[in-house]
Amino acid sequence: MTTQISFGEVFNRMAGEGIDSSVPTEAVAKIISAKAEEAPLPWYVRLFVGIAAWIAAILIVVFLFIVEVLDDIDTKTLIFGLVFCAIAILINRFGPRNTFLEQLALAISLTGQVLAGVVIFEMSYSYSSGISYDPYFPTIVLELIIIALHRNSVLRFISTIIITSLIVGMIFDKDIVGMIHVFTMALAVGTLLIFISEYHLISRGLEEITYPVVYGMILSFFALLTTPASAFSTYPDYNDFNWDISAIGILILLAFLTVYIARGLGYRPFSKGVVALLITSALLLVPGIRVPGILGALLMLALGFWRGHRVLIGISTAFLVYYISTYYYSLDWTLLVKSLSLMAIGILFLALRYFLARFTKGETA
Amino acid sequence: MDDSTDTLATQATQEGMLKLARAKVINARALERALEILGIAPGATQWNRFLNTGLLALGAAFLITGVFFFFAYNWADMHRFVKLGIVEGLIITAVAYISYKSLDTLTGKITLTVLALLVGALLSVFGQIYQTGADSWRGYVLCSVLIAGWVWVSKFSPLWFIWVLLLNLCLFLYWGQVVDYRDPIYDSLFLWLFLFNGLAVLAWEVGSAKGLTWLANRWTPRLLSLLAFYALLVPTLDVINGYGETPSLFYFMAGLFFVINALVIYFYSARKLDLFMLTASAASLMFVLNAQVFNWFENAGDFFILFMGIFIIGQTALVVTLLRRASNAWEQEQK
Repeated sequence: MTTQISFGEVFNRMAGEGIDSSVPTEAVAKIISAKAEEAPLPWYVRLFVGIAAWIAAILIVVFLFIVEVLDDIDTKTLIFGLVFCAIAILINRFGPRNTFLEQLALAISLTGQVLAGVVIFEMSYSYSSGISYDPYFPTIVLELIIIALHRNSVLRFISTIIITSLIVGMIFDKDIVGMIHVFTMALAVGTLLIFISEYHLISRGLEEITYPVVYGMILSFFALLTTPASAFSTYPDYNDFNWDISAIGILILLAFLTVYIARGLGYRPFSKGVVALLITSALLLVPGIRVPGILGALLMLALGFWRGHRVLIGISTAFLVYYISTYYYSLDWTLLVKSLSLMAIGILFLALRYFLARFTKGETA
Repeated sequence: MDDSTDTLATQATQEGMLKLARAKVINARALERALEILGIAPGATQWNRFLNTGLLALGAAFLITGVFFFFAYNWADMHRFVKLGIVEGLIITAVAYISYKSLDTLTGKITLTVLALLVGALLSVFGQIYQTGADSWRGYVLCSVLIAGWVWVSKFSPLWFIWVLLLNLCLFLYWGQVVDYRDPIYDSLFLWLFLFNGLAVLAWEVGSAKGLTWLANRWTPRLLSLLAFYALLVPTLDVINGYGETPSLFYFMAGLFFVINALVIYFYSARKLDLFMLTASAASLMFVLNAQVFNWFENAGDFFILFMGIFIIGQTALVVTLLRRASNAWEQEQK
C-alpha cells in the first residue's frame, strides 16, 4: 500500500538525506502532469496475443508452402524469412501506432523467424551440397537483432526463450553437457544483476527491452532446473550433469542477495538475523543439492518481493511447489532420509521465524 | 499557489517517480529511495512481514511434505492402527493448535488448510487398509462433506479454492466411474461443470460486492471461470463441428455460451473491471468464431488459409483495442 505523502514531501525528505537535493520544480511539475503513456497490457493479455500471433504465423507459413511460393528449404526461403523480419521491424518502428499493425508486425516477424530458422538448420547439414556450418550462432544473432530493433515485449520475450533454447540445444549437440551448469548460473547471475540495476536501467530508458528479456531468462532458468527430475535422468551421460554444482552456485547467489538487501536496509552483514538467514539457506542444500530448483525458486521469490514484481512472486511460488513435489522422485536417497530431511527443514524454518521475531528487533547498523 | 507548486502538493505515485527517472530528472538512487519512502520498495517492516509469512508457509509445506514422504516409506511395515493413529494424532494436534492460535490469524488459517488435507490423507489411509472395492469418487465426496464446515468458517480463499477443485474432481470421477455412456444423463457432465463453477464465481462476486475482505483476491474466481468457460466451449464446438450425433442438450449449452459471454462482457467492463475475465471471454468467442468460419469455408481453396491467418490477427487486434478502451473508460469513471 502506498504511503500518503506528496511529491514535495518526498523530495524534501530525500534532500534531508543528501539525495538529489536540486530538483527543478517546474520540470518536475511538467513531467508529472504530462499525459500518461498507454499502460502496458497485463501478462495474460500478452500471453493471449503471443499465442494468437504464433497461430497466425503458422497458418501464413503453411499457406506459403501450399501455394509453392516457397517450395523448398533453400536460399529463396531464407531470404523471404529475413525480409519478413525486416518488414516487421519497419512496420513496428515507422508505421502508424495502431493495434492491428502491431499484431500484424508480430505475426510477420514470427513467420520470418520460422522460415529463416528452419532453413538455417536444414542447410547446415546439407550433405549433397557439401555445406556444413554451425546453425546456432546465425540464429542467435538474428534473435538478438530482433530483440534490439523490434519494440514489442511479447516478441522480445519469445526471442529470449528461443535464444536460451538454442544455447541448450548447442550444449547437447556438441556433447558438452557440463556447460549446462555454467549456462544455468549465467541465467541466474544475469537476472540478479538486472534486478540490482533495475532503477539504473529505468533511468536510462531501457526498461522496455529489459523486462521481457529478464522474464524470458527467468522462465528458461526454471525450465533448466526441472531437468534433474525429468526425462533427462535417463540421458546416457546423466551423471555428468552433477546438479550439486548448480545448487551450490545458486546458494552462493542467495547468500549474496541476503547480505546485499540487509546492507541496503541498514543491517550489519553479520547481525544475528542475517547470520540466521544465511545458516538456514545453507541447510537448504540438504534437499536442494538434489533438486536445485528449490533454491532457485527461493532466489527468484526473494528478487520478486524485493523489486515488487508480483508476477515473479507468483511464478516462483508455483515452481517452488512443483520442485518440492519432484523431490519425491529423486533416486539418490531413500524415502526415509528424504522425509526426515524435509521435516527437519520445516521445523528449522518455523524455528527461524520464531528467532527472527524474538531476537532481532531493533538490530540495525 | 502556481501550477508547479500544486503538482508538488499532490499525492506522490510510483508512476510519477518512474516518469521523473525516465526523464533523468532524478537518478537511480533517488528513484530507489523515493519508492522506499512511498512504501512500494519494501523496507525493514515489509521484509519482516514477508519473512514471517514466508517462513510459516515454507515451514508448514516442508513439514507436511516430510510427513507424507514418511508415510510412503514406512507404509508396508506399519500396523494399521499405527497408520491411522499417526494421521489422527496430527489432526488432533492441528485442531488444538488452531484453538490456541484462533482462526483470525494467518497461522490459524494455514493450519486449517493443512488440517483439511490431513482429512483427505486419513480417508485414503482408511480406504487402503479396509479395502471394500468402492469407487474412489465416494472417498472424495466424503472428504468434501467432512471438511465443508471448516471451509465455511475459514474465511480463507485458498481453502475455498481447494474445496471447489475437490468438488470438480468428485464430478469427473463420478462420471468416469458410475455413469454409463448409454445413460440419459451422460451428456450433462458439462452442464454440471458449468453450474458448479459458474455458481462458485457468482457467489464469490456477490460476497466480494458485499464487502467481505477475504474475498478480495481476484485469482480464485478467475481460475474457476476458466473451468466454467471450458464447460460451455466444448459442447458449443461439438455443435459447430457436428461429428457424429450431437446431443440436444449441447444446443442448449451453445445458446447458454453466448448468453453467459454477453453477461460476462457487460459485467466485467461496465460494473467491475476485470481484464482477465474479458480476455478469457474473448478467447472463447474467438475459438467458436474461427471454428465456425473454418467449418463454412474449409473447402474454399488454398487462399483460405492465408485469410484465416490474417483474420486471427485482425480479431486479436480488435480484442486488444476493446480491452484498452474498457480499461481507459473505467479509469475515467473512477476519477
